[in-house]
Amino acid sequence: MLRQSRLQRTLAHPWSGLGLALAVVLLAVLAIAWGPYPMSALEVWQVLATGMLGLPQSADPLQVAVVFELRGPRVLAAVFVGAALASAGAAYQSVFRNPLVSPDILGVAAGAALGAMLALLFGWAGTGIQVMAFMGGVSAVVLVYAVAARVRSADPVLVLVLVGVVLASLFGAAVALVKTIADPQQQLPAMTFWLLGSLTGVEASQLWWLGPAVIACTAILWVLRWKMNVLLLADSEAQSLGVSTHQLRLGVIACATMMTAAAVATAGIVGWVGLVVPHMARVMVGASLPRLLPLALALGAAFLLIVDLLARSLTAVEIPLGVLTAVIGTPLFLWQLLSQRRGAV
Amino acid sequence: MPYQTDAVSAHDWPLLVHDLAYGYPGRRIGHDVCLSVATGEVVAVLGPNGCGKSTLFQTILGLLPVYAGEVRVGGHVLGQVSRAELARVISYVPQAQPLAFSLAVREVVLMGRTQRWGWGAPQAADLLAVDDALASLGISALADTVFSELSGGERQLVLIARALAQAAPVVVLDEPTASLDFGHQLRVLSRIRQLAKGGASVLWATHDPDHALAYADRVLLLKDGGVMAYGAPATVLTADRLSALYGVAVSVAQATVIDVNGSSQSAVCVPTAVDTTRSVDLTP
Repeated sequence: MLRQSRLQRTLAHPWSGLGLALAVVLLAVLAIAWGPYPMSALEVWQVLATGMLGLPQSADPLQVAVVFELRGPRVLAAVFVGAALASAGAAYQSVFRNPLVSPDILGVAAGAALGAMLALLFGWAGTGIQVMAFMGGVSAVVLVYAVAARVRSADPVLVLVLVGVVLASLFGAAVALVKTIADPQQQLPAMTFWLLGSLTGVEASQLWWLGPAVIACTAILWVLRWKMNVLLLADSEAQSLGVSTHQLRLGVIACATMMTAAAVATAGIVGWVGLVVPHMARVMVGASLPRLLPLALALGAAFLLIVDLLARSLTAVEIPLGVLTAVIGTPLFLWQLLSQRRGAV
Repeated sequence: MPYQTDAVSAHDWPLLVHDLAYGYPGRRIGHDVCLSVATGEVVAVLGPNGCGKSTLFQTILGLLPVYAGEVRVGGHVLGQVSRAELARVISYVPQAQPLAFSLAVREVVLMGRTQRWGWGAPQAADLLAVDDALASLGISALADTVFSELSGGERQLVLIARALAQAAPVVVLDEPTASLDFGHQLRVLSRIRQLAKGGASVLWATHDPDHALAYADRVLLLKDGGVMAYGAPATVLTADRLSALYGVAVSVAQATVIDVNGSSQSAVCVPTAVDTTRSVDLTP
C-alpha cells in the first residue's frame, strides 16, 4: 500500500512554499542574466534590487535596460503565464474530477484564438489583439457554461465538458475560416505565429494587467482550496458535507478562466503546461489542493521560464513556445507515466 | 470515543419525517412517508430496487426538494436551513467508490469537518477529531494510505469515520454493506451499532432483511415510494410481507444460536425451498 513518500512529507512542510518561491526567484534571476548580452547573476540582482528600492542606478545604463525593459518583463511574463496555466489546470482538473482535462476544455484557448485572429484580420496590433483574445476566451467559456446550464442532466460536469468540446471545435473551425480569408503575405504568418505561442516582444506595460489578474485569481483559488478538495467527491457527497457544489464550481471555473485568458492573451496558445504540470505536481504530492496548488504554480512558472529561455537561446531564430512545450513536455510526461507507482494518478 | 455533537441534541427525535412527498423536480416518486429516529436508535429501510429508497434519502439529506410534508433534522426544518448548517446536523455515508485522484485516508476523513473551519484552514481540533474517528473504528494504521487503493470494506469504514468526524446527530447510510465480503459486512454493521450507541440517530438502507433483523431497532418497508410497514423488526419482517415486497417466496425462521453465553433465539430469512428434497432443518 502506498504511503507518503519523503518528497510528499517535505513538500507538506509549512516552509516548503517559501522554498518553492525562492527557487522560482533564483531561476528568474538566472534567466535574466542569460542571453547574448552576458551579465552575471549578481549584477542582475544588484540592478533589480536597486531599481525596486527606487535608488539611483550606478550600473551601466545598458544593463539597466536589459533587466527592466528587455529580459525582465519577458521572464516575469513567463513566470505569470506558466503559473496561471498550471494552477488553472490544477483547478480545472479537480473541478472536473478528470486528470485529462486542461484549461482549454471549456474553450478558453479556442475562443481566445478566434478573438486574436479577428483582431489580426482587422489589422489591429498590440493591445487590440490582447483585448480581443482575452474577451474571446472569456466569452467562449460564458457561452459554454450558459448552454450547459440549460441542459437537464444527472451529470452536469459531463455536460459541461461535452458542450465545451463541441463549441471549442466550432471556434476552431472559425479560426480556420479566418485564416483562409486572411492576406497570405502579411496576416497569415502573424496568425500562425500567434497560434504557436510566444513571449517575444512582451512589454513591461502588459505585465501591469497580467500580473494583477494572475495574482488575484490565484489568491481566490487559494482561499477556495479546502472546498475545492471536497469537489473531488461525488456531487451529492460534497453537498452533504455542506459545500454548495454549483456555486463553488462556477467560482473556480470563473477564476481559472480569467487567468487562463489573461495568459493566452499575453503569450498566445501555449499548450501542455496546463495539462502536464498539474499532473506532475499531483504525482509528487497527491491530489489534495492545499498542497497541489502551490506546487503546480511553482512548477508551471519554472517550466515556462526554462522553456522560454530555450526558445530564445537554442537557435538564432526563436522557436515558438507551443512547439517547445510539446517537445519537452511529451517525453517528460511519458517518462513519468511509465515510472509512476500504481494509483498515483 | 463518545459520539460528540455540538448541535441541538437536546431534542429526543433528531430526525422526524412527517407526511413527506418526495421525488425529482418534475417527477414525484413517493408520498405520505412518516418516520422518526430517536437518539441512539437504528432505523433500517428495506425495499426492492427502484422503490425510492435512494430518492427518499437524498430528500432527507436536503439534496432534493421536499414536495409536501415536513422533514425536521436536528431541530431544523428542511428548506429553511442552509446547506452548511445542515452538514452540522446530518451526515451521509454513501456506498464507497474509488476516487479519480489519490487522496490520503486522513484527507478524506478531514473533509467531514469542512463546515467547521469555514473559509479558513483546519484547526487543531479538526485534526484531532480525524485521529479520534480513525482510532475508534480501529483503522488508524490506514491514515496515510491512499483511499482509492483500499479494499471496498476498508473504504466503507473510512467513510463511516468521516461521518464520525462530522459529528452530526443524524447519520444516513445508503447500502453501506453492498458489494462487501461477509467479514466486512459484519464489521461495518457492528460500526453502525457503535454509531448509535455513541448517541447518533441512524437511518440506514439495506438490501438484507437478516441485517435489519439483527441490527435495527425499527424497520421501514418501502414499496412503490410509500410505506408498506413500519415498526419493530420482528413484527414488520414477516414472511408474507417480505414475499409481497420482493415478489419471491420467503420464510422467516427462528434459529437457536448456542454459544458460551448460553442459547438465544434469532430470526432469519430463508428462501422458501423450491426443491423440497433439500429442505433445511433449522432446529439445532
